[in-house]
Amino acid sequence: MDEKSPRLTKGDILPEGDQVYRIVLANQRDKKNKKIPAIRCFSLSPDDNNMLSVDWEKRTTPEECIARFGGSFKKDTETYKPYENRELFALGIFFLNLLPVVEKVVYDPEIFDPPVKGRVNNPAHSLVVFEAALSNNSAQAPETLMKIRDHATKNKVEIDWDKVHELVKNYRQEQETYS
Amino acid sequence: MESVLGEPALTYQKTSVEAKDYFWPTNEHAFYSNAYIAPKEVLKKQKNLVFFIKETDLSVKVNEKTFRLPAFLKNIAQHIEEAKEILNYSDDWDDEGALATDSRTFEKAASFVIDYAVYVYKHFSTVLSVPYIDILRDGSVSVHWENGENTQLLIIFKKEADDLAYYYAEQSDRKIPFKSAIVPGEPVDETLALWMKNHLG
Repeated sequence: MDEKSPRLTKGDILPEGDQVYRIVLANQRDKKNKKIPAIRCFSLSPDDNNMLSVDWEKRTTPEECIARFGGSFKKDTETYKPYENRELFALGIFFLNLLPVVEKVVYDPEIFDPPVKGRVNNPAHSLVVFEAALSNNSAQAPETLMKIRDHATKNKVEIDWDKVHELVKNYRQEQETYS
Repeated sequence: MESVLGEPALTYQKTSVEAKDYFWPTNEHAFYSNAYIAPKEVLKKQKNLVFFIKETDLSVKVNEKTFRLPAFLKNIAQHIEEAKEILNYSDDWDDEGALATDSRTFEKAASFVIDYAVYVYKHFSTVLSVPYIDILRDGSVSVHWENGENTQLLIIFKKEADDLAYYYAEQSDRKIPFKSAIVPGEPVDETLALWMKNHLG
C-alpha cells in the first residue's frame, strides 16, 4: 500500500507500472497435482460480465485482500466465506494491457454507504475489463487464460497469516454491529 | 572333480504367466498394432513364433458410457476417475458465484482425453502425459496438459451442446503457438494428435 499513489476515482485507468492482486481458491486436488494456480482461477463466470475482479496494490496490503474476503458473507447467506484456502497472485498491469483481449484495467472501489452487513468496503477493488467477445469458450479464451495463469505462477504473493487472522476477526466483529 | 561332474544345482520356479495369458495375433494389423506390444519381460520367443501377452484393458465409466483403454494408459484412467470430483461441485463452489458443471460436459472432456490418448498410443507407440481436467467458473470443463517448462495445451469444453471446443498450445523456449478447434465427438483430428505425440509424450 502506498499513500503517495495517484488519486484515482471510479473508472480511472490504473497506471501500467503497478500490479493488481487476484485472490484464488487452491483446493487439495490442485495441491496434489501441483497446478497452482489452476487455469480456472482466472476464468470468468456469467455474473462477472467479462470483468475479472482484482485489487490494486496501491490501496491494500496482501493480508487485507484475503481478510476482506473472510469478512464477507457467502452469496445469499449470513455465513462468512472461508478464507484459509485462498492464495494471492500478482498480475502486472503492463502485462495485462498487452493481452489482445484486455480492453483496460480500471479502478472500481466498493464503498458501502450505508454499510451492508457481510460486505466489507474495498477501496482497492479494480477490474480487468475484457472485450465483450471474450467468454471462457471463445476462440481467444484458452490462450488468454493460459498466459494469465503462466504470468501469475511467477508472482505468488507471500502472506502473513497471523495478520490475516487478526484482520478477519476485526472485520467480522465490525459486521456484527450492522443490522 | 565330484563337484564338476555332479548334477548342477537347479532351482525351478513356476512362472506366473500361464497359457491363457498368451494370444496369437489374428491378422497382420493385430500383429503389429502397438496395442499388443507387451513389456520385454513377458515377451516369449519360440523358434520363429512370437507370442505376446495380451494386456488387460482398463475401463472408465463416465455417465452411462464405458470407455476402454489399454493398460499402459492407466495413469490417464486414474486421473479421469479423480477428476470426477468436479461433478460434485454445486453452484457457487468458489464462494464467488461460479457455476456447477454437468456430466455431459465432463463426458465430452473425458472422451477427448481418452480418444486422443488411445489414438496416439496405437498409432505412434507413445503414452501421453497425464493432463489436468478441471472445472472453470462458468461450468465449462478444461483439459490442461503441461509437459516441462514450456510446453502446454489447453482445451475448453463448454456446457452448451454442439459447440466447438477451442484449444491453444505452445511449445519450446520460443513458445511456438498452435491453435484451432475441434468438434467434440467427431473422429480424432490427426494434426492435433500428431502435435500431442510430438510434445506431450
